[in-house]
Amino acid sequence: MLVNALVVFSSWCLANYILKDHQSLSLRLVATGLIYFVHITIVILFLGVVIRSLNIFSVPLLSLLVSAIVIALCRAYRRPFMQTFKQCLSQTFAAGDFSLYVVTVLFALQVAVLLFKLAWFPPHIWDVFVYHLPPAVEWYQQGFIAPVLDTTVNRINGAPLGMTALAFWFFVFFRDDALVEMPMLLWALMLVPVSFAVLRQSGVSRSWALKFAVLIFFLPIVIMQAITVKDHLGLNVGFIAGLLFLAEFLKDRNYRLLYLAAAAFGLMLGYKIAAPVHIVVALPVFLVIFLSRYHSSIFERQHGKALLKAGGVSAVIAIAISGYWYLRNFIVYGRLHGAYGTRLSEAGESVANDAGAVDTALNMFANSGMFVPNLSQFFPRVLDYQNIYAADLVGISGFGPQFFAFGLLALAATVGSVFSKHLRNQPIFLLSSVAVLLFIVFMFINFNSNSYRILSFFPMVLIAYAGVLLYCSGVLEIGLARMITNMIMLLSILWCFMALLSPQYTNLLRLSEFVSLDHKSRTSANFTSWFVRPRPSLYRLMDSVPVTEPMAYVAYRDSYSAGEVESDTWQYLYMDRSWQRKTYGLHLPEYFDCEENGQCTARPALSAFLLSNQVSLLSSCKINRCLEINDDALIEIVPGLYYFLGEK
Amino acid sequence: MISRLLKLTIAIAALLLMAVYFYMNSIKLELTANDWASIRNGDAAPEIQIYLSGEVVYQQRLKDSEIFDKAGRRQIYFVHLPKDIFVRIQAETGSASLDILQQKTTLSKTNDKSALFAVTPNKRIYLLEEGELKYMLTVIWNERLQSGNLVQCATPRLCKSLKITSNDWGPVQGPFSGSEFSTERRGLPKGRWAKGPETVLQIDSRETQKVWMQINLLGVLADQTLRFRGAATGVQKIEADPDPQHAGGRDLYPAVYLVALDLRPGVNYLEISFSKWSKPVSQGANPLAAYVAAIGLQEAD
Repeated sequence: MLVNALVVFSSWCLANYILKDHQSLSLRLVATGLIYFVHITIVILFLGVVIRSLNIFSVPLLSLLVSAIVIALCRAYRRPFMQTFKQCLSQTFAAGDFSLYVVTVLFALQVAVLLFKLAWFPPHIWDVFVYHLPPAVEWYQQGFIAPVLDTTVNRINGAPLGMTALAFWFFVFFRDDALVEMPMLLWALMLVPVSFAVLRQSGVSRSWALKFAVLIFFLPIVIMQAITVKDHLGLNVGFIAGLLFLAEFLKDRNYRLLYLAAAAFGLMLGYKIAAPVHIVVALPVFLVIFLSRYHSSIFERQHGKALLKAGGVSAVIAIAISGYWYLRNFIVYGRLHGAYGTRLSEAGESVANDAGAVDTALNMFANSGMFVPNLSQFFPRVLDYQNIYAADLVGISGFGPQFFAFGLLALAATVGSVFSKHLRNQPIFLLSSVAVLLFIVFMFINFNSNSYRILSFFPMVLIAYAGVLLYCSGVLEIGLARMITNMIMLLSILWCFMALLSPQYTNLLRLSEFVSLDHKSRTSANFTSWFVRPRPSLYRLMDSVPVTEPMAYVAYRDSYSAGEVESDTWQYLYMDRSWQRKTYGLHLPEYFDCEENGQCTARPALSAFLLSNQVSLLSSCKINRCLEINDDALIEIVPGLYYFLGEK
Repeated sequence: MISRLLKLTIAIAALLLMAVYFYMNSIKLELTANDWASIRNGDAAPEIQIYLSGEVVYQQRLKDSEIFDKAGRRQIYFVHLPKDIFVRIQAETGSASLDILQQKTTLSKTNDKSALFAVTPNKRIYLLEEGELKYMLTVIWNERLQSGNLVQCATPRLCKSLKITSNDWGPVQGPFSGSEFSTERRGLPKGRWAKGPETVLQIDSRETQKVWMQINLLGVLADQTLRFRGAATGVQKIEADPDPQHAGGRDLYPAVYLVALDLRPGVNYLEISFSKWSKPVSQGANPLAAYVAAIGLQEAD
C-alpha cells in the first residue's frame, strides 16, 4: 500500500510537471494513471531483464528509489489534489441534475461490486490459464524474466507481456493472487477520466460529460473484462488516452503532450501483438490532420526542430516501455511477432508456419475473405443477440444497449463528418475517424467468435462522439430530448448493472460455498466450472495437495486425440494462491504414444523425467478430455490424475 | 443548425434502437434470474471444529467433496492440520472430537500415524498432518478400486458363479454431489440408467441355481409398475420410500423388487418391462425408464 501510494504520488507530481500549462484535472488524472503504469512496467522489466533479480525486496526498493527521485524533482509543480477534486465536483454537480446523482451512485455501486469480485473471486478466464498468468508465475519462481519460457503453448513466447508485468506487481507485494486482476480494473477506471476529458475537450458541459463517461464505463465489455487478467482494456483505453493527448496537441502544439501520448502508445504496444495495427492506422490520420492545420509553419526551422526532438523523445519513451518484447521476438525468432504463427515439431522445436506478419496481413486484405462475414455479423454482434454476456465475448460484441442507441447514430455521423468542415474541426474527429478506420481494418484481418473483444475502442469512442454531437448540436437543449437521453442512459446503466451482477465461469450452486470458504481455498481450481466433466474431482482435490508437491502435466499445441475441442494446453495448474507449486509441461510426442481414442502408453522418457525432477503427480487433462495412460509405474487416483510409483 | 423536429427525431431514434436491443435480449433477464435462483439454492460451506478436552484447537470451512467411499454413501474429505496441532490431537485422541453442522463425532486412529478420521452418516473426514500426500492418495485409490460393480452378492462364491450384462443399460456412473454442475447428474447415487419400455438382462450362470435378486430402482415416473419375464419365477414388490427423490434434474421414484430367479447353466434372460418411461431428450437418445441403484443377490436354497 505504501509503495503504491508513493508511486501514485510521484506520478501525480510528474503529471503536474508535464501538464503545467494545462488546468484540466481529468487530463492530469489520465497522465497520472499512465505514468503510474509506466513506472511499474519499467521497474519490472529493468529488474527482470537487466538486473535479473525480480523479487519481493528488489521491486519495492527500486520503486521507492525512483519515486523518491521523481518526487524530489517535480514536487514543486504538484497541485493539491483534494482541493482541485472538490472544486471540480462542486462545479459538476452545481446544476442539480438529478440523473447525474443517480448515475454517480450506480457508478459507485458498480465499482464496489467489481472490487468485491476482484478480491474474492480468483482468475477464471481461459486465456488467463494459457498465457496471461503462467509467465508471471514462472518469473516469480525463477526470479527473473526469461526471454523464452519452457512452454508448449507457443504464443506465450510471442506475446508482449506488459499486462502480465502489471499482474506480477500486484502479486509480489502480497504473495497472493487476490489482486492480480487489479490492472484491468484500474484501466477500466481510467476510462472515466479519459472519456470525460475527451468530451470536455470538445466543449461538452461537465455534468453531461460525466454522465456519458460513466455510461461508457458501463459498457458490458468493460465491466466484464475489468476483473480479468486479459489485456484488451489496457490496449484500448491506452489507445484512446494516446489519441486524446494527440488531439490536445493538435490544439496548441504543446510538445510535452506528445510524451504522454507516447507513454500511452508504449503501454498498449506492450500489451498485445495486434497493437501495432492501432498505431499504423492512427498515426497517418494524425499526420494528415496535423499537416492540414499546420502545414504553413511546419517547415519553419524552429518548429521543425522542436517537432523532430519531441518525435525522437516520444519514440524513445514508447520503445523503452514496450520495445523489449519486440526486440526479444526479433532476437530469438528473427521476427517481430515471435512464436506466433509457429508450431512445435515432434522434437519440440518451433517451426514457422506462416509467411510472416506483414505478408499474412497483406494477403488478408487482398482476398477480403474476412470482411464479408464480418459485415454480415455486424448487427447480430452489436445487438449482443446470440450468446450470453461473458468476458470471452463468444459471438457477441459486449457493446451493450448504450452503443446500440447512441453509437450507431454516431457511426452514421462519423461517416458524414468527413464531408463537414465544422465536424472535422472538432477535436474528437481524430478519435472518431481513427476508431472507424481501425474497426474497418480489423474487419479485414480478424474474424472469429471472440473477435469483438479487441474492438472495445469502438463503442468507447463512438458513444463519446454521440455525446459531443448531441450536446453541440443543441439536441440536449430540448426538454423532451434531454429527458429521453437521460432515460436511455439510466436504463442502459441499470440493464448493464443487473445483467452483469451475477458471477460467471462458476457453478452458481456452489457460489455460496465458495464465498464462505477460507481464504486459501478460494482458488481458481475451486471456482471454475467450465472444465471437462471428469476433471473437477482432480481440481477440487488440489487444495489437499501440499503446494510444495510439484506436478507434471501433459501439454500439446495440437489436439491429443479425436473429440477434443481446442488446441493448446488450456489448463491452469498453479492452483495455489501463492504460486508456489512447480509445474512441468510434458510435450506429448516426447513422452507418450497415443491413439485416437485417447488411450496412451508412456514412453521410457517419462519415468526418467519424473525421477530426475522428483515429480510424483501427473495430470493428463486438457479442456474437454483427460488421456488414459497405461503404465505400470502410474496409478490413476481420480480421472486425469496419476501418481508415479517410481522411487524418489 | 438542425431544426427542433430533427433534434427530437434523433433522440427518439436512439430510444427506439435501445428498445430493439432490450427486446432482442430479453432472454438475458430470464437467464440472470435463473443464475440468482441457483445462487440462492446453494449452501455455505459448513465449518468443522476440532475439540481437545473441550477446547477448540482448529476450525476450517469444508468444501463439498467429489470423492465418495466405495459404497457411494459417504463423501470423503481431507483436512490438513498444522503439525503441532496434529501431534496434540494424535496424542490425546480419546479426548478429541469433531463438530460439523452441530453433530459431534469422535476421532479414530488409522493404520497410518499421520492420519486420523471421523465418520458421520454421510461423511468420512480424514485429518492429516500438514504435507501428507501418500496416505490421502492411497485412501482415494483404495475406495475407487473397491467400488465399481453395482451387483453385490451375499457370498463371494455366488458372484463368481454368475455374471450380469445388458445392452439396454448405460454405463455405471456416480455417485454425484448435490451441487454437481451438470443438472443431469446432480445428486444421483451410483447406478446406471435402464432403457424403456424394456430392459433385458443377460445372466450368465455357471451352474443350475435358484437365486433371490433384489433390485433397487429410481423410476422416472410415479406409479410405474414393472413386469419380469424369462428367468423370473416370482416377484415381490417391497415397500420403499414413498417420497420422490430429486436427482439428475428430475423427481425419481424409489422402488424395490425382490425377484426369484431359476437359473440354468449358460445365458439366462431376464426381461424387465416398464409400464411408463420418459420420452428421449433428443433424437437418437434412449428413452429412460429407471435408474438402477443396486442389485443384490443371494442363494435361495
